[in-house]
Amino acid sequence: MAEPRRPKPRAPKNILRLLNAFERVALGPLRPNVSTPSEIVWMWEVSTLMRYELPHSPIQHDIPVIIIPPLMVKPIIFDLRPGNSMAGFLCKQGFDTYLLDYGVPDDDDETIRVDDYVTDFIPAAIQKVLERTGAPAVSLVGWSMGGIMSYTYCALTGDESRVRNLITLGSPLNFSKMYPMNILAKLSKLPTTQLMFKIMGNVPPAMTRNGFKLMAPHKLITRRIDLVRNYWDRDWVEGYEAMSSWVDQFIPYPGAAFRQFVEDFVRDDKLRQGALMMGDESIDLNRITANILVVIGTADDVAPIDSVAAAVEEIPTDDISGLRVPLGHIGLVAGSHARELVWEPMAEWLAERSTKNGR
Amino acid sequence: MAADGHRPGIVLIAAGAGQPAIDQTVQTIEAAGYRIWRQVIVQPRLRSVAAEVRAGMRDGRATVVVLGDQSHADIHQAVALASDRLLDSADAPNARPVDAVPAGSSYLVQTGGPAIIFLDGAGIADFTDLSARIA
Repeated sequence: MAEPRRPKPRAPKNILRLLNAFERVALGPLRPNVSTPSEIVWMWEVSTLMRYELPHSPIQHDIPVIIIPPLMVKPIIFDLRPGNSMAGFLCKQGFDTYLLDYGVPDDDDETIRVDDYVTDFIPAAIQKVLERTGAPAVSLVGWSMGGIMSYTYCALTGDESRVRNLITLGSPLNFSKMYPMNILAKLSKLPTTQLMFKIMGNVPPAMTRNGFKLMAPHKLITRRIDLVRNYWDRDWVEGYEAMSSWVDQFIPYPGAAFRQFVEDFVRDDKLRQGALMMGDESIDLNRITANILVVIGTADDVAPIDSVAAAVEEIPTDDISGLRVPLGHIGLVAGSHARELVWEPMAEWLAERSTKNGR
Repeated sequence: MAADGHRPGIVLIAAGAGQPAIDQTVQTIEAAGYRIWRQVIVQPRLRSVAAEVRAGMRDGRATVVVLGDQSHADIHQAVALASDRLLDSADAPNARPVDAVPAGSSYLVQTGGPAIIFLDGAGIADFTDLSARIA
């Protein structure tokens, strides 16, 4: 599927490159420091529930949307910059839009497990939104591990009265197809790795950031080449700088959650096999009743196509479909083509399923 | 031809087809000069396939290509269901239904609106011939 084309430049590209380079040296990064207006509607320990609101965008749909981010990153990726904000886009489309920000874990949080996010943080946020809005249910939009935790939550409760719709973006379900991460995860059985888990505490951001980059090592070079080639395009450079700034702000990964994710999800593929436990409860994908849209990046180096698309085959809910788009893992939520290829179809899909009495 | 040099767009619906078959179909369609607007994967069930075919046809700017395994009868019924509905539509006077399910072959349904091409998983190469016959 070909990517949309950019408008032609209004001046010679080399002149534009020079102008942008001059401004970058003289005034600093070219990214605008503006975000979609939001308010904190609820705080619990270090986590917050944000609500986005644009002045001329009234709520048109009955079912509010909660964005569920992954761990280890700051959720500003969902509101990166004007014109490139998934949260802002959903607001403009008339959705009452919330985001669950787990906060930045410190040393006291190293024992937080995935269980805590799935059985405490996410349901508490859903409850708060339902109380605030009086809506009959919510829609969840989860990216990467945010989507995996959303699957897990829905498979834990099977409670369709709370989650009407679920959209996952680049979220693997079949971890046996998640190369090369599943092979690396097998190393977690080694005594040295077990010892490392015990003494490490939280996983430092530098480790997760570099691990993330190494999953697509060619991009360490191609991104820089792309920067030079596109330096004439102000909008492109602003996006690049905003993205680079976000990548530099990775946050610690709670140690226990990391270990559980590596061992239970990636290494042993327990979610798909129905062998996963959250607290005392077993997780069963057959319980999921929400309508589901699975967004699959065909250029995703982190979550390979087969690992993500497996959800369409394996979750037996009545309304489930997959949307394949020619984007990478980050491009799904914040790339320059995300609006046209992901957000617009996503909003269209949600709108059809967001009436008070619908299903 | 569209203004950007591409032929009119395609909505690709993969029903029960594997990822390699989908990738190969995408390459075949793009090599023929078409732009794919949307690629959707659905389970090969009557309701889900029919809903996606109808949604693709509503899009109005695209030919709908359904990629499936001919052994799934639901897929053929879904194509028939979607095109049959058009028979009742004043907007599609030339619509005609899929009368019988061809065994193991790809086929074209002319609807008067967006055409539907069914590609059997093994018949991906038929796309070029079938698309050339679209009225």
